[in-house]
Amino acid sequence: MEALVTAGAVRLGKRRAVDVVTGALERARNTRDLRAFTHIQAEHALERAVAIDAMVSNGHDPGRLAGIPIAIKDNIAHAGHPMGCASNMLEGYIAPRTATALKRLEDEGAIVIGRTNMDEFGMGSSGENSALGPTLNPHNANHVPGGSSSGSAAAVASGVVPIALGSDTGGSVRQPASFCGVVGLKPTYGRVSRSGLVAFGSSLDQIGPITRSVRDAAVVTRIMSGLDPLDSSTLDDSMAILPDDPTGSVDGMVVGLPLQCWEQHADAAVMKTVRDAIEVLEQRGATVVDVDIPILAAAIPTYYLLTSAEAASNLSRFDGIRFGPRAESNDLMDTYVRTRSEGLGPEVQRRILLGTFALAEGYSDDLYVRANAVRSQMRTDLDEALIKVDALAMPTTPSTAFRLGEKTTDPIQMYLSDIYTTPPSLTGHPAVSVPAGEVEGLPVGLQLIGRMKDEASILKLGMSLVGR
Amino acid sequence: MSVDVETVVEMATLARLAVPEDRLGLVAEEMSAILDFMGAITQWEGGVPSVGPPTTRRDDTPISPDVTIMKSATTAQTGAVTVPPIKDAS
Repeated sequence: MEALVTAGAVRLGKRRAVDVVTGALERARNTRDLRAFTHIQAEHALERAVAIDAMVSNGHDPGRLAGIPIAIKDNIAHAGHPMGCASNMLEGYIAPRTATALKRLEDEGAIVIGRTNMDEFGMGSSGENSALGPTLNPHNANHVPGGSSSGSAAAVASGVVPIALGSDTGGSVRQPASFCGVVGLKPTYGRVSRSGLVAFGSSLDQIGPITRSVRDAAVVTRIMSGLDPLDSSTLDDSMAILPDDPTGSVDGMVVGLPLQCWEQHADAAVMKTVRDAIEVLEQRGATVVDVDIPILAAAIPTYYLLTSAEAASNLSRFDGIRFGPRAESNDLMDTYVRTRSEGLGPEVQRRILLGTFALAEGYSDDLYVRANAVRSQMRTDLDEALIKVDALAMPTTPSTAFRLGEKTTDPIQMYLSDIYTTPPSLTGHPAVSVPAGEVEGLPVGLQLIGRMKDEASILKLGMSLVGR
Repeated sequence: MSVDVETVVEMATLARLAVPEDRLGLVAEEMSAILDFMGAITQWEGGVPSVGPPTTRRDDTPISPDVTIMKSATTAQTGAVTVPPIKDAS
């Protein structure tokens, strides 16, 4: 059931928030083999549910998400609760405050039932880089759920919660949403405050919702959006309200298919499934045209150079002094080195080394500076392409969810699974992944990229396809 | 773009990480492969990095100390608040 429908029933007193939350906690317990959660907050959730039921009994409106159980990625701060980023480096760390995005959801009655597993510090595309063990795909436990918001996607896909928050730096909301057959939205950069989100690549990071319906994703994003004095990159205006059109008509809308995304890389069956989904949009009134954006081919190296450089800088704060456990030593430098080497996982260390290299004197002009210039050109080219079309469409991922362990020994193959999701992350454009069908029992996602600040158009197209 | 063992050691030192000696060769090989792949970036010209809003600078003129603050100071010297020594510090 859509979260908004459940919230409506709670607001009217037809359902008790306590019953809704109890059901979610029970489902979380029954699906714990998936390792979707790092921490369940049963006591906190039930206390909140009782308070919301009391508000309704007293004639007060608890808000648009009244009594809705939600899950949040383990890199989003929630005051008084653990925040580990699925890393040994932050074991035992308790967040001192609540992220702005989450606070706005709580103010509308949402109830956090637990924190979800993830690739350590957001670095990964499979959910396998977690210090707490990999999350499994609810559709087939031998396959990965995608990453880095692996637990959030698995928690929604397995029906534990209707809404989960993830964070998306290069596809970390959309790629697991695609692998798990749910909706994942990366809003325009700046749409949602990053205050309270542990930084990975600050110029790309965005909190985004993973939901079962497009309508829920739209409402959650709208609630989270808006100016925040704690994040100077937030946009001043809130997101447009998504028109509710039960006919699903997308008459007059133009969808562009970038040649670079359809010529190579993707599995043929995935391509066909996504092409069939686009035909449905055509039947509902959309015009489909080819577009040529050559610079998209540079997305993966550009993305990994820039995010590794930002990660090397952002994660330098994790040295055992202020956060998490400390490797004891009589020498300060040795304390830093031992704490970081013991606390950070292999993929995180790999990216820190790469980022340090990309920023080093003698290499930064060829790598970091060049990548920034390519990023700038990509933004210009995407903006130009989106003058002629309302959205760009392509598969979210080049394949369905791959098998556990299939790519862990080959980082480049792992990085290539982000080939379609990294461009809008680099440019800041909004993008959504919606379920488009299945191949051999595993979900396939369609990605739609929209104009800056125009989430409404891609959500409208997505809703036309998904029907809710 | 080839990375040798010495470069790995140098990067690890800068990043405050320790790479075990028996893994240095493997890490160098892995970084070389990844950087070869990332090196494709040099084929692209790119554009002019976007320009942010212009910075507005005030005139660089001395400002008189806030008299209210100075009045609250326990001790002051030549127009500045005196910071007391750290207790028990040598």
